[in-house]
Amino acid sequence: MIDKFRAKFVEESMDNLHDLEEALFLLEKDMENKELIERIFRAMHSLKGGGAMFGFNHLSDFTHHLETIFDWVRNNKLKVSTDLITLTFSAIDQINFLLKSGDLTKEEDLSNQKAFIHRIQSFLNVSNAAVAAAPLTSPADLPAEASDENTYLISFIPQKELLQNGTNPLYLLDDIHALGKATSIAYTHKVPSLELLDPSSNYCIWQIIVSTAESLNEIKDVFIFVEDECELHIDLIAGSAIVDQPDVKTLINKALTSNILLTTEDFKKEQWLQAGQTTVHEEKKKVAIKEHKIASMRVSSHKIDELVTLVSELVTIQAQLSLYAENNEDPTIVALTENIQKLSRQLRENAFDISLIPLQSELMRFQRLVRDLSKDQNKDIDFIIEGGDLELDKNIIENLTDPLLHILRNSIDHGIELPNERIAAGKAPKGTILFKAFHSGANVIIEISDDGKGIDPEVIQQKAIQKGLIEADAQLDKKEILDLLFVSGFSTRDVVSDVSGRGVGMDVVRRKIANIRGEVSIESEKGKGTLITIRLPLTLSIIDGLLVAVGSNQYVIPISAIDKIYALDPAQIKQTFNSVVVINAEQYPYIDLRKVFNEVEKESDEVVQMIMVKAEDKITGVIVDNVIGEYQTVVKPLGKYLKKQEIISGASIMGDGTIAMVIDTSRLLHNRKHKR
Amino acid sequence: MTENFNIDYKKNNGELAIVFSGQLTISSIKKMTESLKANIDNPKKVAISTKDVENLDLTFIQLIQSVKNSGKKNGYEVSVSMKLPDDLSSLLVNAGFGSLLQLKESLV
Repeated sequence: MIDKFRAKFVEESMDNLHDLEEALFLLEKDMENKELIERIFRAMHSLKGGGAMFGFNHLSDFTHHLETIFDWVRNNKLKVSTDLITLTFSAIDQINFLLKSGDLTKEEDLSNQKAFIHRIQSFLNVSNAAVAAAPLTSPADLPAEASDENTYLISFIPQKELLQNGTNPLYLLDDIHALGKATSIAYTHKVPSLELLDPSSNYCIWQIIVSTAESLNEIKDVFIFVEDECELHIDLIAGSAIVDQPDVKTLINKALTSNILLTTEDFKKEQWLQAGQTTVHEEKKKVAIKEHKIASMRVSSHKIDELVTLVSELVTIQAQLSLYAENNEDPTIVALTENIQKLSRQLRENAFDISLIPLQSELMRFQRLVRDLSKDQNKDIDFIIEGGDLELDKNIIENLTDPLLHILRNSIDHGIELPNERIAAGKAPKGTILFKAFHSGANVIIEISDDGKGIDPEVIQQKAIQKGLIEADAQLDKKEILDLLFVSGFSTRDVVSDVSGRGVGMDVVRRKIANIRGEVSIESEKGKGTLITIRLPLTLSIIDGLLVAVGSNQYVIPISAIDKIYALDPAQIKQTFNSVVVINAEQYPYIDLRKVFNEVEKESDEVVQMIMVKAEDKITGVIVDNVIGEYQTVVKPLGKYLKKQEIISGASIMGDGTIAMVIDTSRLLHNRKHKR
Repeated sequence: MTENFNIDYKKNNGELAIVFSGQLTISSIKKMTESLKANIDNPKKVAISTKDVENLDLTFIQLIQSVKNSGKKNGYEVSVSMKLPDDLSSLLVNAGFGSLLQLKESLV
């Protein structure tokens, strides 16, 4: 059981780390932002508390030191700096490691951990010396030892569900008493009589008057784990300790007998605030936690995969049922089958919708990569993300991460120039990488552009000639030259860099993207920058396909790749030269699938179908014998024996039990171009 | 399954004495509530006390308060006198429930 809780803690902590990283990126841009500092402190605090609770003692110890740093920051004892942010980013990596490994046992890990804690402590020591030289002050958050006692009125109004989440508010109130001299007023008038009581709901409200030398932040910390489940107001009501004063006691008794909550106005009459002291008010409004709980829930990805597989099976069975209904011509069965078809389509859409995850989940890694690499290479880069909330199939996202990391590394390593080079080129010293994701029909487009030095087609062409990839007299347009970057083994750098030139080129990027039925293209302007465009399908396992017949076999062509379909006279095909057909005065190259699959061409005068397929910005005709119709295709992966063949991306089981191969149109067209 | 709490009821001339002991927390609060509903049947007076309390939380305090509110509504007197270990007493005082610890005091 405890392992289950530990696993849950790790899962939630990973989310916490993600949040922490995001807040750090924002803090780097706005180093005075109190809200972000609080957010980071809270994340550290949760990791520390949870770590100790679930037996991650090294994690708890480590985050304790980091929490101290951010406690100093929020109490104005320490200023946010780039060094502090860099230290915290490294600490996130260490926390990640500690979450994955649990408590450390290896000597090397323990020594690394010790060294890291020493680094944090040194940071505090250095900062402490600096603070001693020039102390920082702020009226609202005076450090404890620098202030006299103040008195606060805390109004703590928990939600009804507070107790069901395992919170015992008695301990929170006890913690407040540990901060100084305090009196709690418990309002119990909302507790119903026995017959109406829901015994696990909270009905109580508290007001606490506390005189303390601690800062406002220390008081807020007591409520840190319940702040989303309550309404909390903390008001400074006096610049001295007044909790024991008779007038205060009178006010408390009045509140208890009347059940009317005290307000700051009640304390103003006595003028307990000193001249020049202003009222400080902290407020946390309750969050509608009940709706939040219903609005989203955490489900393991394994269960979602299982659901998608089951839906796929259902779609296959439904196809069999449709065929049976057609053959038997029973109107009742036909009607029922149509209903089942509608439902299975809806179910399929819902199941896929569930399996979509926002791209944002991976973007933090990219942000981190850009930050770390640009610092290593002394480059100044602004990484802008647009469309991070766009959702994609989780299997696509998993396979997309490596290619995207490679493209970004290329941008930083080869694209963006050093600041002095940029100034010399008449550009701003700070470079920009724009990551943009958006929908385009049934596809998702991801564009990664930079305003770096761009790619010189001359250099690419010369390199390709040297490597024997093209003939010296080859006449290629700019797009074809840039396409050479995707040819296996092509690398423009003679010296392999640590960053992107590891012998893994853009050919791997293209192959990996093609594996998830995507396409990648490149545009570049020398001196201005480069744009890489990735086109991806929304889902992988079930597609809307067009079922076609070639010879005695059936094939599926993804509908998302189809532009138009023409019926052609066989004679029209026979008259063509170099596999180019003229339709409506436009020339189109074509591929005859009958030849590709070694099927015998029909001798009859029956028309053939030419399906116009889009890929890599071009339209190519694909000749088939017949178009059978639209088909919800459950794409099953090919076994290991068929893995090497290139133009089939999978197979689908038809209603009658036969198999239809799913054509990878992108590879089909790509192969044709290369063969030429 | 053995309960980790106990409620002892004694009736004498319409006066009901209720003694709670053990773990008086959210894990058993529903059963405690059901038990009280079943046993408080138009008494003249209810006297609530505690003995050998191992732990308690807000749900128990609210339950006591609810009995008091029922007494107000249905016209019977409810007195509360809780004897608790020092740590739990301190917890109640700090949470503003110190009045429940006052011995033999009527809290209607």
